[in-house]
Amino acid sequence: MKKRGYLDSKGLSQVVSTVLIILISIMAVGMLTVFVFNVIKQQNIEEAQTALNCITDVDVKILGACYTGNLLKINVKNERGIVLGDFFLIDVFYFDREKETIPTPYYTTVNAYESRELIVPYLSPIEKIKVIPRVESTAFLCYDNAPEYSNIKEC
Amino acid sequence: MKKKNFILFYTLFLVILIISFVSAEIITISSNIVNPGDNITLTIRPTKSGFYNIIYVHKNTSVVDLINVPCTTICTRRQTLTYNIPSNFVGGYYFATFDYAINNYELDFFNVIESGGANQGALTLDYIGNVIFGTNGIINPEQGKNANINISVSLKDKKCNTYNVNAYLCNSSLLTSCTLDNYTLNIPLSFESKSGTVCKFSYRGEDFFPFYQSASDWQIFVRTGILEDRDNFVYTSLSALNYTSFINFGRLNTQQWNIGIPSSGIDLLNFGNIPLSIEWSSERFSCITENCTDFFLVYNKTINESYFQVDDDNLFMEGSIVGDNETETGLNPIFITNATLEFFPENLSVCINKNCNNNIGERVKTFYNLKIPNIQRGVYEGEIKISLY
Repeated sequence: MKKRGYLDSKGLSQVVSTVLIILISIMAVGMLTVFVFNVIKQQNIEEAQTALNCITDVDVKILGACYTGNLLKINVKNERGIVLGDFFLIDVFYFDREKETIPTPYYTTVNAYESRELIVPYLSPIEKIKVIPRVESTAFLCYDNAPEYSNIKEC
Repeated sequence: MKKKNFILFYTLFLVILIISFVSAEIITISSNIVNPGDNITLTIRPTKSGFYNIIYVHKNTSVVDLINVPCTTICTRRQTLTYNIPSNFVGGYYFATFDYAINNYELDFFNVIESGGANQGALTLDYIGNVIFGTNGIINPEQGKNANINISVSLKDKKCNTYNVNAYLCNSSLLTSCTLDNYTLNIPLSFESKSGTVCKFSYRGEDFFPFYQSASDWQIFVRTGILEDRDNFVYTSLSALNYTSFINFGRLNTQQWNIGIPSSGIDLLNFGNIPLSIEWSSERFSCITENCTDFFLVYNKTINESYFQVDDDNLFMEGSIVGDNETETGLNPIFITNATLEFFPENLSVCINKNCNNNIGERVKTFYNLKIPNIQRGVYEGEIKISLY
């Protein structure tokens, strides 16, 4: 008769398997919890906050826009007391191609009530542009408060 | 068998979950600690939404370089790029890549350390101060020369003797921040000794902190690679004068003014870092010749008459001394007595170089006018006390 000892390989693998299952379960539950919380937070709270912030705090005007060489220069003014940035998105509507969304370089900010020139690449003739502002240090992109500008000529 | 399937299920679940989290970042960089001249490989795995074809290289808030990815505006395919670190890069940088999937920039940080810089271990600033009679955190100026200072640092690492260590000093009255891009002095530290895994690096010398430099608060940070230690120290003020300790007036005549002695004048220099007002006082000259016991007072209180004067020129007219514009040039002379408080000069400027020869009032030539009463013939000696304010 074969006697089963503590170091029996089959017995050991069962212990390891059980521990692994418990650990993996804990990790999976933890990650799922974080994931679910993030989804809830992003989709509900932030979206509502974004909309509210954009309506109450964001007002951007395009004072002018022109191109020189391969650069498109857009002069914008922040009409409110909140800092805008860290970047803007520029929707560029071309005559000869599809619309493109071009981000300004990271850390492009416009202080409260200040004007600033935004610069993005100029690729081909533009029908109009739309400047989508963002509230600094948040993920709020204000699509509904995006001013448009057409008649873009050479500087 | 059932348990094995269970483990397999859980493992797959976990892998999928991890991939879903990891894939939130589209860029991986080959190394986040590099030297100037090294290459960093960026592997970009975009989602279907793609990423913007310009990757910005930032230092703090400034764009310092950019990478043009070979695709049109929005890149949707996997890319592997090599970025060569410019030779002038040092410190913390990051790549900013716009990810259209999240409509936000992904920031990937990397640290450029100078060649020979440590990428692990611990760095400690042990001492900054004067070499002689020094106190940690205080540098005292030394009159007429540069301060002899000591900066001592400990670096703990197995390979500590192979690293370079630098000290960066910042004058707080001139600089608001003290960084690698913004410092007053850079002092390379020399390897001194190794004991176990601890190395000592130091600087000892008189290359910095001249006597005429203004007192102020300073900051110091010592650095090698990713290791750094910081502290504050003070450069103190110093009132100091350079003047002869012995004056030979030569042979003088009695009962008349002896004007403009010694004939070459004696330079008076500010050897510290604050403007000085100098007060002179003297009481008497006594005969030191054998068997001679005579003396004379430089100020006769009874008749209110003075016999000893210091001036910056050798002009003199008896009876009209101070304020006589016709005979006086430069600074007004003063009588040296032990009775009145007068300054000569009233504001001796601080030098702006070690030679004190910029003609900004930091150097004054002194001449003496002496009227000797009818006294016994002999050699007379007296003291002149100079006080600084």
